[in-house]
Amino acid sequence: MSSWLFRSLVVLYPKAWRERYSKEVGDLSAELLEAGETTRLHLALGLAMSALAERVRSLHRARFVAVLLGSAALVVVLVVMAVSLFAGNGPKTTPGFIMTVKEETVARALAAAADKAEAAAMTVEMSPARACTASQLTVGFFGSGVGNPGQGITEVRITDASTVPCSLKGYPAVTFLSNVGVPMRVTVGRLPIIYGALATVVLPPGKAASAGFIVASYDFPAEGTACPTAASIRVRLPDIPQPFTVTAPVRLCRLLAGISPIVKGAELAPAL
Amino acid sequence: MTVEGIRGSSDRSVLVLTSLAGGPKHGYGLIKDIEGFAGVKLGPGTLYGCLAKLEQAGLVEALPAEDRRHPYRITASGLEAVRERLAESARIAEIGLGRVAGAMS
Repeated sequence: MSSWLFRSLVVLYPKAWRERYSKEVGDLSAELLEAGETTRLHLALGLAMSALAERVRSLHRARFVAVLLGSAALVVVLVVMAVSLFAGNGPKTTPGFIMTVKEETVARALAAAADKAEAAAMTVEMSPARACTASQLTVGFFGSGVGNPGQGITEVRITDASTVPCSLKGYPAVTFLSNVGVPMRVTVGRLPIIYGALATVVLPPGKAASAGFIVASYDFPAEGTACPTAASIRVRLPDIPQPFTVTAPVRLCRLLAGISPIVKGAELAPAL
Repeated sequence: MTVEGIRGSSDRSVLVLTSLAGGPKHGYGLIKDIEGFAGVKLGPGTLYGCLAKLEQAGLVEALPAEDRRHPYRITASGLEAVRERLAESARIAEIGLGRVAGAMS
């Protein structure tokens, strides 16, 4: 891949990612091309799409300006790629070389602006946020799915509906309620924290659900046992005395359930 | 990255971890190994997207570069994570194949 095109593609990646991995990706791309394992077009499209995915991943919170700028840079580079690759010429022999250089400059400028917007968003995110209060939050059923064999997963999402960010940390306490609102006698345990320590989750203000937790329960009955279903979950979030009631059908075979700590929404099961 | 993150989004990450469970490899070696045992050909962008997530989660780590090649190896946490994930897949496969066999008989 010609270095001008690779440079144009690499600037699309988030700055931190670029600084850590761009040399390795460049070396690997060159090796694959030399070995005839791929084509320039295939490689360029793959890198462009991966760059966009990395931008979105790094901006999974509401950083729409940065996403837009990064996407604009992607469009510019894709146009440059289309012109040069489908014309079958590199930039040095193309009459529009001067335009190509200009477009590369525009792509770089847009990507740099996206980096700045991302850095600003990170600064906001890293600043201390006050603990969430009940009046700031909405808590709701997000979906259910299958966990380990025989187990169901119910996902509850938390949204900061106010205009300022706030933070939550720890495990929620839950009580399962029957269809007439009576608490059920369910043994509730805590699911382990698999990676890292228990973390403070900062919820940005807005309508997007940005944190949550999962409820794991058996959805196959053991032999000779019943399999009751809860109609709703009463949720008490850490350090918030007022409970939330979440309408969510949860099969509670064996009357056992496990609760995860509150984590970022992006870390919850995306398939649900 | 949590277990749910791995479960939901990263079949490719499982392929990378499975490949590295057989020993350290650089990018080209990973692509060829995964293509060999899974029939999936990862591009450099996709591969490094996986490696970045796995490195951030402490499941793989970079080794010193050899010329222009950059090898990675799996960590103890990575081995445990991929063992859990593959065991879970095996359990689901066993149940699923049993049900399919029952439905076909």
